[in-house]
Amino acid sequence: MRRLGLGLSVCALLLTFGCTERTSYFTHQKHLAELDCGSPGKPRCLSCASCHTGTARKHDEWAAPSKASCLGCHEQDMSVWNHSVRPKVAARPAGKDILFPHDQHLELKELKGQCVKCHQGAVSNPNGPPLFPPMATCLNCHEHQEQFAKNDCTPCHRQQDLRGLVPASFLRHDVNWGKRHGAVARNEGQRCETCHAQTFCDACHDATQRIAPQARNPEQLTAAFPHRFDVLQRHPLEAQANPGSCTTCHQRQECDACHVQRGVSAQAVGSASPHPFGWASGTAAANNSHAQAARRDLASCAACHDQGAASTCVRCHKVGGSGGSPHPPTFPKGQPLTGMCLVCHGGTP
Amino acid sequence: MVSLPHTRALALSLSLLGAGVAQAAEPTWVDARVATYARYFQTALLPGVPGAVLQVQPQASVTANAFVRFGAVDLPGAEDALSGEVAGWGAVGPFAPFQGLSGDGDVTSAWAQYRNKQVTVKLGRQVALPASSRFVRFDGATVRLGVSLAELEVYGGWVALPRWNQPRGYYVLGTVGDALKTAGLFQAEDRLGQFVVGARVTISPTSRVRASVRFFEQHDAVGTATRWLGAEVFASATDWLHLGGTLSVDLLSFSVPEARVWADVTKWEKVSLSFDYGFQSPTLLLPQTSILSVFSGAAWHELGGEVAWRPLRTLKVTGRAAGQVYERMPLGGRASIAAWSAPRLEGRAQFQAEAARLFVDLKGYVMGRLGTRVRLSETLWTTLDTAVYHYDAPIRGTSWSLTTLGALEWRLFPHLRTLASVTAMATPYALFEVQGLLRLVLELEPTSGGSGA
Repeated sequence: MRRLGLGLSVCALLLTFGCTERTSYFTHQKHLAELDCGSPGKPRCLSCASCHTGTARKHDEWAAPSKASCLGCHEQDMSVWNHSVRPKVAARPAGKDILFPHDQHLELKELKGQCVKCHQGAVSNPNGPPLFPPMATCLNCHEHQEQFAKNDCTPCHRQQDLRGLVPASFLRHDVNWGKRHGAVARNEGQRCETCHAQTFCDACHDATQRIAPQARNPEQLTAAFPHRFDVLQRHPLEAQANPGSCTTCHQRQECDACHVQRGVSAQAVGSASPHPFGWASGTAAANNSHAQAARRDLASCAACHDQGAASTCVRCHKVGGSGGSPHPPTFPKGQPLTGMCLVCHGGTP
Repeated sequence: MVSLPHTRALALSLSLLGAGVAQAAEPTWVDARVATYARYFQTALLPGVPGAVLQVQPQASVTANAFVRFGAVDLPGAEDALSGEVAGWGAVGPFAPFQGLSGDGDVTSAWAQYRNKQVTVKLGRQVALPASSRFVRFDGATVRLGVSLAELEVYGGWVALPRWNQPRGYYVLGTVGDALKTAGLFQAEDRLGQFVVGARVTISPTSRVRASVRFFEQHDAVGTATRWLGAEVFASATDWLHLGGTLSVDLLSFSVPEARVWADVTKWEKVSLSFDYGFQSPTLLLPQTSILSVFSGAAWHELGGEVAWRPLRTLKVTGRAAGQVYERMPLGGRASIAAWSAPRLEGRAQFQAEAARLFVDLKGYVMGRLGTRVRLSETLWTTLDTAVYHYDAPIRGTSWSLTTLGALEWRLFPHLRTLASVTAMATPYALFEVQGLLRLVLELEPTSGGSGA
């Protein structure tokens, strides 16, 4: 087993670092800003339109330079085109197909035919492909508040693309998004539905599915999976550090169901107590410290001890029991006895 | 450009199936995905009674998740009015015996939604996001009415129990009821007594402010589990300062189980800041049908922040820190810093480095992580991810754990991709352990992120 693991690790390393595709990008900086051109014996100077000769108006057109554009200078050198412009290599990121009439925009007096006013960084970036403008660039001129309020993103975007896009300049999903996405989803669910299916929520929140999301998607480096790596060792710490977070997805019975199987639950026959001597009696070093621990994180206690009305705690903490009242000082008094109250106060539900 | 012939064919078919009235403003669309996972693993990684490791033989299981979603179907007199989703999962393998079966599965969503102008009606198995951090699936109806600057939403239905009437939690290698001394209390649950109702009113007086008030009530078989009233506010004070807050009140005890306020600052192009204060009383987050919910628990406060710095388009550094104060308890806190880089643009090579520290009750852990994802060729990706944890308090005499995973992903066709991964672990409960995963994903729209992970 150990050899197998080592072998697989070595293979993964070799694949990762030894077989990287050698691809060169088209250098806009070199062609537009650094080219020695124009003088006798030198090639003609280039502008964006020298190569981007199309007048794209539809979703599927983006004025990719043709092979002939490169061959005009790089005579007989097909590798230049193959390694930099070939559509399969220089494919756009998903969802970048928008209905955008380049020709109409370039005619605007504000732009004066200048591509870089929107494609900022295309020239200054020495190694990269042209930068796709963020939506904020469009909103500098276009007011789309009404469409935004209606979740009406077409026809600028294609509907199928919306479900693969994360807006870069609004509806940002990056500033502490993990903490507040639930509140946003509660109030703007329809906006979420524009891109996401309900299954998208289930993928992380549905604890009934037998494979956890981090196990299903080991390739997703940046996803905020809370159970990544050896969660079993650290889950008691995580539960204590953020009490209540577990029950966002897990029912309290789930904890006990697993603990019973592992023999670490109060309900498992023959299980050994993980608590130190004196934990509940005050006669040893632990000195009745279960009370402090329970106040600290009662939900963790419930992971093993909660059986509803037959809970371990009630055996002592009932009226007439040795444990005294469990209620906090602020516990409302004089309320009608219903439900759980009746377990200790006057009967069994 | 990815061609989507199947999508278009299906879209056309559904359009023809529709009423065939005036041409839709938006073409009918369909999204679908089937993912199959085959795993080889040992549950010996699970801890047993203190000092022991559970001995379990290696196991293999196969799980499939499937989902279909459609939208913008025309109905008579209403364009783009109908949408819907059906999703579920199934698994076969050596699971805990359940009614004599070695398989399991469930329907996770099955709903249709009608939307016409201001009215939206959603029927079927769906999800409610009630007050506080909860996720409740139910079979029922949601009606949403939007008028001018306000929106009213009302929903209700029966809580979706696994396999219709089985206790929640049964799928975790057995059920609580298996070991109960008073098992009679936990026989197959009466679904009729388990339901949710809720409502929400949201107003948006300006484009910069949105506020809502919501109510949620959930019943377990033995009584009222939760009755919450909540409120939320989102406001953009300026183009770069975004404020928000949420508050929940437990109406059964007239106490606050959870509250949070935050402020996001996006003034600078390369730096984003976020500040967050949270309050939580964990006991109140338990259902009131749990006897433990009447015990006193310590509330806790958390003050934290996050900064995201993007000095280059190819580099992003994110730092988070939070301090926690528990009533009458030692301080706690957590901090992390992560750097992500894709030096070759377009994500052909990505690198992730991360360090984290958690501190709770005078103990905690330190974590370090390195990961990389590289595109080997046009259709081949590889991932390597390694994390080391050091625990302040040794577990079974061991303070370290190491996890390494390697994955190879191959997009065979635009609509079909596969992945093989191996995870090796050294933990306090297993000196060396290996788990394997094979994944096959068939998707109608490869660019869609709608179905999630």
